[in-house]
Amino acid sequence: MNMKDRKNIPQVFEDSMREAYDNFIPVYTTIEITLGCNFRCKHCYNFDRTVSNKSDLPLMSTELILKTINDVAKQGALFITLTGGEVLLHNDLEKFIKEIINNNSVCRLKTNAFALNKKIISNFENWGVSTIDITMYGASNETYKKFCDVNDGFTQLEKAINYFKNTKIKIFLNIFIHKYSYDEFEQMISFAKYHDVEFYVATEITERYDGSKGAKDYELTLSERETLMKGNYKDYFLSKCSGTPQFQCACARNVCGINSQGDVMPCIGAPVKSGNLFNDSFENIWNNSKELNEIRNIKRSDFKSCVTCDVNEYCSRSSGGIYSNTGDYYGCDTTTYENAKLSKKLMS
Amino acid sequence: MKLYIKNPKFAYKKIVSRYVLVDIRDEDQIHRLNPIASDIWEMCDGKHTVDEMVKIMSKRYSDVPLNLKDDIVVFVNKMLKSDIIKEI
Repeated sequence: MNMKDRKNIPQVFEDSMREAYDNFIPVYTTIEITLGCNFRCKHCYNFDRTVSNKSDLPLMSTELILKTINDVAKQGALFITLTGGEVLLHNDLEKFIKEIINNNSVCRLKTNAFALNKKIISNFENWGVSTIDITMYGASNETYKKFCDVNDGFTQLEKAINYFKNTKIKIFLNIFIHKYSYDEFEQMISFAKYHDVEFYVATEITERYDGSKGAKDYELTLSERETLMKGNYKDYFLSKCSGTPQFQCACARNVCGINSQGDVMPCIGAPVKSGNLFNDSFENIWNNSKELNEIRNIKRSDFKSCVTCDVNEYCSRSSGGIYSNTGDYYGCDTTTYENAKLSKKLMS
Repeated sequence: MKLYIKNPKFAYKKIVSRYVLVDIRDEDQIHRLNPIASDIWEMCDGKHTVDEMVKIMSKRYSDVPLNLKDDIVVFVNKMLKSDIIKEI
């Protein structure tokens, strides 16, 4: 289901982003610095956190992450987002933030906000963090407990939002609608509005990157999605493109993702392993990877099922999500098709 | 003679031939410099005076205007006003 852009890109920036897209400059780079997390979300795309902590995986060292920050910045990463797991659990987060700032890039963090407190937020402001992207899993502690297996999750979120009010750090709420937060959706929107926080809405759940099953059990049903598409906030869910439908996104062009095991990917949401930083340089992988170049050379006609699809004008497909769900970067999946079909039905 | 440095509160990257500057205190404040302005921006490194910028630009480009120095002064003042550089 579509995710609204969290803000309009200033016009002056659009031309540069087009140039970056055309010249493969990874302006938006996301680095996963840890797999560790203080939540046990049912849907987590990394792995099934209810049965494992994957502590045996070879993770990038602090030194390798610092080097990676340097290297991506040299390739043009203007916006570097640190993600996890939970970024606040990494002991060297301060070093990473400072390295990003020293490399003249913008530092963004993705977090569940649970471990935030006044002191940490004040430090972030002093170190130069620009934006914090907080995922909101519900509008009650009960939902946080049920979905994330954490006590007082909602209370902690509200505290964190209040701490930010006296800072210059911008926050975005990623309002995440899943099986358990569906009934709280309007409360979540009201929460964001009450606190005057910019937000976007997401409903996508992908299969786990490690192949374990069960994540999609927490996705909304077709009927729930239809209800949202007819409701007070239908504009967040309905989708229709203007002009000829395009199926390729910014993957491997002006977007890049690096996971905590050092795999370079076309986007953090598209787990196409395209080279590994333990045995190759970012520069070489980014410029010469077979996988990344293949994605860059995709033509519209390569999306065979999309070109002839009866609802392609209403589709907001994500190649990364579809790849995670089906293994086919060019294809489609059930939820994507159903959403486009619903949009067509309700907007025609 | 005055020297200038980049304001560290702006992140920047060269995208093809133009610098894009983003205020890290407010990401919506974005500046995009044209190629000539980008050259001048690069020289705001605490080592170049306006006169030196004029010399370098005159060598680099064959069709510089007669009033190049005036243009550079205007642009430097504009950058100072926008807070993207500072005088040292």
